[in-house]
Formats: sequence, structure tokens, C-alpha cells
Amino acid sequence: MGSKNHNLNNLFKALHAVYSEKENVQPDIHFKNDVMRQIRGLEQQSHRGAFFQMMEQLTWKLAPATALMILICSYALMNFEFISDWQVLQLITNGTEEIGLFEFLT
Amino acid sequence: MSVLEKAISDDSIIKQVLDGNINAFEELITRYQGYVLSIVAKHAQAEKVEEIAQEVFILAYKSLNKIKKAGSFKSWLSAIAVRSCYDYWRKHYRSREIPISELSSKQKDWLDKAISDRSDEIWEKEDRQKEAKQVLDWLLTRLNAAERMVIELVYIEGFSVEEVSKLLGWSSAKVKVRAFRARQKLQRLIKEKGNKDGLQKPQS
Repeated sequence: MGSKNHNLNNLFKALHAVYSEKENVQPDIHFKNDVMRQIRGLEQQSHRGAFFQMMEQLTWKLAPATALMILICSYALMNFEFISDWQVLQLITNGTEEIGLFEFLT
Repeated sequence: MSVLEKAISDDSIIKQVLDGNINAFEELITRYQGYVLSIVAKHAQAEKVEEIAQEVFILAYKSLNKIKKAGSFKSWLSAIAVRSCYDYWRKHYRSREIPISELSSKQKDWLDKAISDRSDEIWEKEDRQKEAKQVLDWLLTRLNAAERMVIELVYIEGFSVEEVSKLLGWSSAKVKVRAFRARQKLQRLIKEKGNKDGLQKPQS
């Protein structure tokens, strides 16, 4: 086992030399400008997206209240009886005769 | 770097950036672009180095407000660089095709010498280095992303377990387990290769 480790260590030692050579990388002259361009682009996007982000946050904040309102409205719709103006008019006039649109408007 | 530039600490530049002066970040890139590139170059494919290094700086910019310790920008940046390389390999390995290339006779010969006690001989000829690079790639492409990073950081670069755990954001125990398994896998790979191609068996 010790010998195996020793052999593998030899390999690592040899590979270390190859590895050390890899780090000699010179930055491209455009490197800095490219990064800064992307960062400025991010900033512009974040300004543009700020309004939508705010709206999104607001939507989620108001979501429980909206859900509650929907429940209340649904309950109201199911429990209250709505009578149209037309039906009211029919009730007033005893509802015995048919009323046409013309009579209703005049 | 001028005397004036040296006098401005990383922390004060970071403060300027956080206060809205984006252009101040340019100075941090100037200071650390070589450092980041050298880290990324060791862990990623040559053609991807610049792209990953750019991502490192963009990630750093986005998370500048998360630096906790003053004066730790450089080590914080190196952790971002190492983790970006790890992420790159994770994505790359997910979409990669299984490598079918085999070692050439020269590369097998190099590996044979490297695992034997005659390792001093392997640098006798300059062209041996080319084989060494190819063997390194051959071995590392057969490991997964985590094993690759651990082998590179612990065994080839010589970082301590604690340092690797900080760089990768893993626990020390996880680093130790991964390192042990990766080493075993590498040993198994070399042994299998040796049996298949008749490489010299490690001397006992």
C-alpha cells in the first residue's frame, strides 16, 4: 500500500510540474473593458427592471388581500339575490303585461 | 501599480462601488485579473479561461455586499474563481460525451515511468512534457467534477484540507472523503490501464 501511494505521489509530482506551467496566462488587453461593459450592462438592466421588480414584489405582497377579496365577493355573489332594473319595473307595473324595450325607454 | 493606487485599499474601492461608483470596480479588475486568470487557467480548459474569469469578476461585482471580513477580498475572489471552475466542470460533464480517446504508446510510456520509481527520467526530454499534459487530461476527464477539483487542489497543487474546504465551501470531512475516493479511483484507473496495456506494475 505504501509503495502504491509512493508511486501515485510520483505521478502527482510529475503532474504538478505540468500544472505549474498552466498558470502563466497573460490577460488580454480587452479583458478589463469586456468585464466592465458587461457590468455596466447589468446596471442598466437593473434600472430598467427595477419598476417591474417593484411591481412583482407588490403583487406578491397584495396576493393574500386579493385572495381574501375574491373569497368575500364569491360569498356575496352566492348569497345575495340581484334584481335587474327591468325586473324592478315589471314588479312596479304589477308584472302582468309584457314590457318591451320601447315602453321601457319611454 | 502607482504609489497612489497602492495606497487605496481594496476595502475603500469596494465601498466606492457599493456607494454607486461602478467605475471604481475597474481598479479591482486591474489588480486581480492576472491572479484570477492564473487560478482559472489551472482548473479549466484553455479556450474557456477568459470566459470563466470574466464570469468570476461579474459574480464578484454582484456579491460585493456579501464580503464579511475587511481585507479579505483576494481570498474571497479566489474562492469564487475555484467554485466557478467547479461549476464549469459540473455543467461540462453533464453534457459531455464519454471520451473514447486512448493513450498513445508515448503517453503510456510516460505514465509507466511516472508511476515507477524512475520518475526523474520523465523530464529528460522536452517533448515528454507534452505527453504529461495529455496524460493529465486523459486522467482528469475520467473523474467527475468534484473528484477532479479535489485531485487538482489537494494532490497536485498541495492545498491543505482546510484551505480546500474554504475554497470550495465544503466541510473538511467532505473534502477528506472526496479526496480519498478520488485517489482510489485514480489508482484503479491507472491499474486497469496498466493491466490492459501491459504497463509496468507498481513496485512493491
